[in-house]
Amino acid sequence: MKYRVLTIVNKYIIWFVIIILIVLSSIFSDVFFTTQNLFNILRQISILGLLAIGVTFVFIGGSFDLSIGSIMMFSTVLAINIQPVDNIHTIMAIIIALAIGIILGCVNGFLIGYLKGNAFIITLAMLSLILGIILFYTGGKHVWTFNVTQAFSFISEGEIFRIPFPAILFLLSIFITNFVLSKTPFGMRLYALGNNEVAAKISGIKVSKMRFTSFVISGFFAALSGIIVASRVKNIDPGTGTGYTFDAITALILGGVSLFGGKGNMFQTLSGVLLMGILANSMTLIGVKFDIQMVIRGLLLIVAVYSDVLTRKINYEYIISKG
Amino acid sequence: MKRTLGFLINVNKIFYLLIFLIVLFGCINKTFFTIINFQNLLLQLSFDGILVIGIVFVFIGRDFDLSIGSTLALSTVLAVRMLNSGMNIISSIIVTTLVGCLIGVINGFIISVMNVNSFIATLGMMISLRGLAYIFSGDRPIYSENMEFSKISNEIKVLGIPLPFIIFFILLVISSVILKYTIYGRNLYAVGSGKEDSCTLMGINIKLNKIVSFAICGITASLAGVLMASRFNQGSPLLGQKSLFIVFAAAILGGVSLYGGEGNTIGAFFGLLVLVIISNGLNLLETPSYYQTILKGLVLIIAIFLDMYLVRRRKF
Repeated sequence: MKYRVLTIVNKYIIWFVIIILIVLSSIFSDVFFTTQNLFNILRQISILGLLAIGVTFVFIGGSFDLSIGSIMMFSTVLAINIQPVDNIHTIMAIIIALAIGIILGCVNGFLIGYLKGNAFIITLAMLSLILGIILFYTGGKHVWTFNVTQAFSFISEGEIFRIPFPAILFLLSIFITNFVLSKTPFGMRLYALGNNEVAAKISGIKVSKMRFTSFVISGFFAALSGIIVASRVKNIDPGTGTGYTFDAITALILGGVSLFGGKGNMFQTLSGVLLMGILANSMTLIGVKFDIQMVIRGLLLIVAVYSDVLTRKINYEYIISKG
Repeated sequence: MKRTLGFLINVNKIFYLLIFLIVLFGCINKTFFTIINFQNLLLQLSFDGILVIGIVFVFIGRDFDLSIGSTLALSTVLAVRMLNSGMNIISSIIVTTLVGCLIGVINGFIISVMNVNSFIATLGMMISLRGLAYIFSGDRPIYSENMEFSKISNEIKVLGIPLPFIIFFILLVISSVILKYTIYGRNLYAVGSGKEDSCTLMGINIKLNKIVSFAICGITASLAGVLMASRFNQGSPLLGQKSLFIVFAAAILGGVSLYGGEGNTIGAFFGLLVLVIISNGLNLLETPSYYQTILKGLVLIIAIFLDMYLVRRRKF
């Protein structure tokens, strides 16, 4: 009984935490529980969320991707620099920015899937490489654009039935990718690959191709979130850091997606992203300083993972005691 | 002598690349082989070098430490604040190093005793410590009011060699002796090889071992921080954000395995030397910095595959 309760608690603990957080924030801040602010949170998390969706594929396949932040930055810079001031350029900006994400994902996937390089180092190297290419492309200068088309600003500012467009894009992506992961052969094989690569290979799964595809998906979603950033800020300094990578990884781990592959689903990713978004929003509304927010976020990460370790240990002891 | 040289070359396939680079840059640029440039090179090398020494211990024990950059930033801030409040230089250095050691012990405790994956634990510490650095510095760089402090990294030279490099070199010697000739060092390789059951049967205290290696990593990170604070005469929460890449790349280039149980600090030193010489040589040729960023990424990718295929060929 104790075991069962604990499993359920562990499975949904993050949703409890989110609810508690929402209740607490509503008590402490008058502004928090207003439609305006809730939609605002949705708009804020969709960028991080789309990024996290892509990495979830890579994580489930048992790999690692550190280069998403720079891929995202590259697509942002490209989309802005193409100057989407008329319809043709808007379409071009979106297509080229997405294409660059897919191409870079292909490079990652080729090096890691087919040439069997270590994912951590390869993507670390790619991070530096892509950042260098961005600086080369822009000459290290600030890029900006004026008078963008309505369609381009609609990507980040548009609303359908008062729901922000990025949020719709994000939630739609969650449902589609969750379907792909849980109901298609591709998803099943990805879990198999993440659980045990050798077994997956022996049972006839094309391991290299699967891994390649997961990196392409990751690149695509990184580029997609990059386009939303481009539409939102309309000017960017390519030298600024890409802190989004670690934020996305933090969200995944908070949600319970395993670092070692084979575990996790899109709703866990959603919960992690939601928790981070709500936490950041409520702390800002209550007036917690940015530096203290950082400390809290870091500690939260460690606590979240430790609770996971604890439950796993209790499960293990339960199994042992039952023989 | 011959044996030592052979040992070096065997351990470091990177050695050939290094000689090639030195000759290349020496040929195309006159300023490369000047004393001032070498002093400059050694100074650049020493900050990241001290970080690399610590990370090698952690890598050998089959763990990760992402928090070194933040520990460095926190140490610069702490050292400068203590100096500004009137503490003398030596005691502020000692206290800062102790704080670094404490951070390492906390890291090690979370990872070994609480059994949390090292990547996540140090990711959390990375974020928190960076936040702490912001809190202690009041969100902006603080300048040291102690005039003597900046001399440590900028003016003191022994036989023309900058003091930070001498400290780095001493640490390098000590660390290789620890890894090669002490019980702790040999045990660390055993722990890093991943066969935990055999380690336990041999009577190795795995947990203590890991805590010690994280403590060493914390100490080196904070020492690098103190020296860097002296170099720039300031403590800033923004320092050390880019160290992670160069330090990891250096260790991997130098043959320290990510999967634990392999490599040594001298190898990592040569790996770092390659990266620093590339950036120094390109700087002298007045190439824009983004070429360097691209090139470093490429060198890392090529090194991984060279290493992989060389190892593979030896196996079959």
